[in-house]
Amino acid sequence: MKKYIRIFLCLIILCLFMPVTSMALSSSYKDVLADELDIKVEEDKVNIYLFYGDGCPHCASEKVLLNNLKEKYDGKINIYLYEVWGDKDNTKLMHKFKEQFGVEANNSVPFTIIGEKYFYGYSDSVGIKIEKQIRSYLELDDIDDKDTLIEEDKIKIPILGEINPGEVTVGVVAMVLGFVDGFNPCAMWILLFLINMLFGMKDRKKMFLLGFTFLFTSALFYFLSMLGINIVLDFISTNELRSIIGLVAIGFGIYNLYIYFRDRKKEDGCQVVDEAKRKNIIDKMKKIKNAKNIFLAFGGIILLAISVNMVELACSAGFPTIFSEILVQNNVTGISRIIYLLIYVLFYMIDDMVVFTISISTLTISGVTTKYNKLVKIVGGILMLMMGLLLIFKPEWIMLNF
Amino acid sequence: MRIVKINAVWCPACIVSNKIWKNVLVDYPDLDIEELDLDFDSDEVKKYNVGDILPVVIFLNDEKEVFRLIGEKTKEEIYKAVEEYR
Repeated sequence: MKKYIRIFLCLIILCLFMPVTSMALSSSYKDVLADELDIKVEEDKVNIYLFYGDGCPHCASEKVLLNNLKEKYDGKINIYLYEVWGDKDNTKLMHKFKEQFGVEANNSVPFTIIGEKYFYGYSDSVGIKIEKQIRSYLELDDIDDKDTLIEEDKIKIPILGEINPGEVTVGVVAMVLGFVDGFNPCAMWILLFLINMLFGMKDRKKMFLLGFTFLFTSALFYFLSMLGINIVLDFISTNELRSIIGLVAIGFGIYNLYIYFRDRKKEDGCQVVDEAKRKNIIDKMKKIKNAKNIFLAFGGIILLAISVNMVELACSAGFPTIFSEILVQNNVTGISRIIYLLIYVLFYMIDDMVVFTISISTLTISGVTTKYNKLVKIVGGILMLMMGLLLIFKPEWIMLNF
Repeated sequence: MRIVKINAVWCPACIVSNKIWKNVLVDYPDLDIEELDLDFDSDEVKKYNVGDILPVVIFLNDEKEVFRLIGEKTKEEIYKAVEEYR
């Protein structure tokens, strides 16, 4: 009997000093997808479900990370991959799980589910969160061990605080594209007409109010249209669509370059817009100007701004669509998306606001020249061509992952 | 000699050119200039076969066109044309 007790004690002591090589899973780990997907939950392994799109560079980066983590944690991770841009069943599955997690059921990827947690998009910081989550489920909560985690890549900006460089780049792209888009001659002539029409008004305050109502309505309409394009792209974002948008951008770019080369020897001046279209808008403006009731005038100007912008959107839809695709590809959603769209629209309206304010306050348009119109055409053309080529051949650059 | 200027209120190039023409009128007060607006004088404008670039300035001698300035021109170009055809 003593012999057995001795062996038993020895075993206990041995166990106490034995290095712990096996990993137990945390009690908080609960695989909520396994039943639905008919996947076995192994006792000491964490299941990771990655919904990705073929050709999506962020997804590719995440796959590399997950494979590295699988190796690093000694096979304690099972990775299950679901392609959603080509496989309709997988798309439905992802939508279902997104809804289950209270996320908008769109096609944005990568979408990762580990236990009861989900991770939207991929960046270095998401990678860190994923690894932390895995470590916590594997009960390796020595998070202080920072060497093993990827360093977060953030930069400090006054007022805004710490920001991911990717986000800064999206902001800069919003400013540049919005500004170039704003120089669209399609919209400029209407603004100038409005200013001239308002010149006849003696009431300066009314002039300001009507003018700004026109500008504000135009901006709001443009913003809502872009938001609409964004939401549509969210739902149908596929590789094919990205390539189609790329091709359209290349088409717009080549057309702009063609116009530049065709007209480069032509005189600088104002391009005469189609007569019927001009007459229609002029008639509407006359009605607004002569309206005795101020509310009728405002109503008229709002309707005018909407109808004009609706027509002009077709003429300038290239840049908004490209920018929307950039936002979708970068998984920019929610408030951030609205902020970036507002930045875009603000820069889009800058030239209009400057021309309007200067004109109304000095009652003359100075410093305006048509000499730059051709330059804008060629800059816009090259920019569109580049964006189109990137969307098709180097989408990871559009993801602003330089 | 008669000069017909065709402008439009929405055309910045016309506004830029008009400034120069104001100076021209100071220097040559006896010039006979007729101002037409593309939208508001459309019947009159039709006579002159205006292309798709504005402004257009037509120099007429005995109602026959002798020269035409198309688009935004510099001060020097405008003065040169006035000197030559007035």
